[in-house]
Amino acid sequence: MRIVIVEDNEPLANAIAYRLRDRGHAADVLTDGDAADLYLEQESADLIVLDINLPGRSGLEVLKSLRNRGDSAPVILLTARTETSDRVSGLDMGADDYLVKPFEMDELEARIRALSRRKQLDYGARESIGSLEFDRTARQVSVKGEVMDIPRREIAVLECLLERRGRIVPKSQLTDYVYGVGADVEVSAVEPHVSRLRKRLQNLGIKIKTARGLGYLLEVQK
Amino acid sequence: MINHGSLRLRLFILILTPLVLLAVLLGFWRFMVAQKTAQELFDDSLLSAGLAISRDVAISGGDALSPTTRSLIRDASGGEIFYHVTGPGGIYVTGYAYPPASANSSVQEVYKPQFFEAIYRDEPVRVLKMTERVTLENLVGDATVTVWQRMADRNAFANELSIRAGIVMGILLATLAVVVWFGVARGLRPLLDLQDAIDLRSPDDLSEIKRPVPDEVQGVVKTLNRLFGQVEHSINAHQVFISEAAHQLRNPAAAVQSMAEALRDAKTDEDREKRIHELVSAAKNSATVAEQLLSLERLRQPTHQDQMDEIDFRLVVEEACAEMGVHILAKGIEFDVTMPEAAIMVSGDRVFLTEALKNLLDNAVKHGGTKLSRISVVLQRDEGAVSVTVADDGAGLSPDQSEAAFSRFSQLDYSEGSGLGLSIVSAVAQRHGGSVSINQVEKGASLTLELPITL
Repeated sequence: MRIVIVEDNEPLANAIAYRLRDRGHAADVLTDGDAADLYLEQESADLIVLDINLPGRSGLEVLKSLRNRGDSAPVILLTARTETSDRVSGLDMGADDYLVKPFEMDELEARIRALSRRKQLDYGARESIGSLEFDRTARQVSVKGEVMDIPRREIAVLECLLERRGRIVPKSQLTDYVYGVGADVEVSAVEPHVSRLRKRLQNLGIKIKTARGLGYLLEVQK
Repeated sequence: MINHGSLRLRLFILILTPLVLLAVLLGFWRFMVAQKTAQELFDDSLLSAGLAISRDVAISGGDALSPTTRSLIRDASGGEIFYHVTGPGGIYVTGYAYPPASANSSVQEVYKPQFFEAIYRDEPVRVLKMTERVTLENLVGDATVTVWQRMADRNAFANELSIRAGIVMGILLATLAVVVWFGVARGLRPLLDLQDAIDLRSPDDLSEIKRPVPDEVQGVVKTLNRLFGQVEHSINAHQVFISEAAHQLRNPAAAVQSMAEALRDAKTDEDREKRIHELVSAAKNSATVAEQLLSLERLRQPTHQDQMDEIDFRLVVEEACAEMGVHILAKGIEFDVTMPEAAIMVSGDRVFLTEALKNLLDNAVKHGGTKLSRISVVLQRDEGAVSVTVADDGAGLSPDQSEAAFSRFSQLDYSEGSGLGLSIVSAVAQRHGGSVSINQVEKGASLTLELPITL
């Protein structure tokens, strides 16, 4: 995927770029609003990580002219905690998500992953987590080339937790993901699937932790 | 602010307007009086002329006027006097051919001199008509003497009287205007001096204004002095905050630097790996401190009502717990959250409330010590209030440590915390009309944040 990062804090922009390139994506870094606007006019991006406070024109202006040109590339806004109102106007202007600085790199990646799934972009069909390999298109889990036989619902649980890696996934969200939104099931219905999946993965360096009353967290042991 | 214009102009207008009005009234009155005076004066001279003519006619038997009378008529003060005399039976005796006619001829007292106004050859004239019983060459009858004079002359006289009075009043007003204009400026001098004195101050000088000022300005100066005091206090508080903040930021920044250097010098991969993790956590700590300082600074600003929203407090707790829960679970600490089913509405600033909860959780993680194995959050709705309790089984915190725990930049013992977290919680609670307290528990620490709810 081709991702454009517009952020004037260069170390932060570079760190994001390193992370995304490590995942095999092309990442371009731009540090001011005017340059970003020009660049985005000529080059197309699959996804844009856009800071609001920029030298030159602001991130919101860049976003506005992007949408005015009819470019619908997904945009994640980066905001400081004090810019609450900017956040709202950013979403109104057609941003797809926002992230408050300072954030964890895992969190940003989770947002990008979720966004690309929503927009049906190819963030990476194959992913390795610990010693496990997950093929998103085939919905298959394999260890050292050997496909594991995991039931469909457990695969859905894994997919959901993977997508939101680095975040606690509320039980209600997980239920919606596994059974579909509005399905007539108790929230506790996912619990047995989670506990079976947890057992399957515990020897592969992947832990599913429970925050009781809140949800689940997927943790990869280093 | 509405501009009230110059004080000088205000005073000037306030003083002069009634005076000008009074002058106009006086002028009008003077004009009326002058008219009356002129009329009386001229009527008198008309009367004396009439009497003189009547006498001459009686003496000369109706023939001619004496030279004295003629010169009297010619030199009369109100201009030339015209006359017309008829003898008994209405026979023309002397003078001009036709006298001006009286407007009301039905006169009761025939022998009383009558004054009236009439038009004579297209000009307004003042007429005196006298009728006397005379004996002329054995004829006994009524002789009528009519004398008249042009009104233009008498009006001119009256006008001149009024104009003279007007000029005197004008001069008086002009003098007054000049005196008031410059007098007011002089009267306002202490105010301008005060302004100059404040102008000359250096921006750092916030000491009291001590110069003597007029009584009327004393209130303003007192208020100014109080404001100076408040501003100075606020600036001092800011300076203290900035210097403390700088100290707070120096520690984690120094940690990042030394850890980065240690990483560069690592000999083995294992060391490198370990130091990388420590570097990351030192950097995170540094970012947290900066965030906390910003929060505290923003909490110092007064509340704006438009920042207060009606929010479901459960969502705030969920958001904060989901975010902090990642760190808590990553440390291998058990984490559980208990929340009621129904929404609990509070009026508040979502960002601040989330911040407060995150700091409560952060405090539990950082100050729990090595014994810490479990953190629990309980959200409860009580009568008119909602309370969220964060309890842990780590190093304890007792209620008598409250003062130190909630004050800025203080830490009860050494830990990786900044000493800012609980003071943020306390400030947020105060801002929302709630409170935060340390509960008496057997083991570990338990803190409760209580907020009023909206019904």
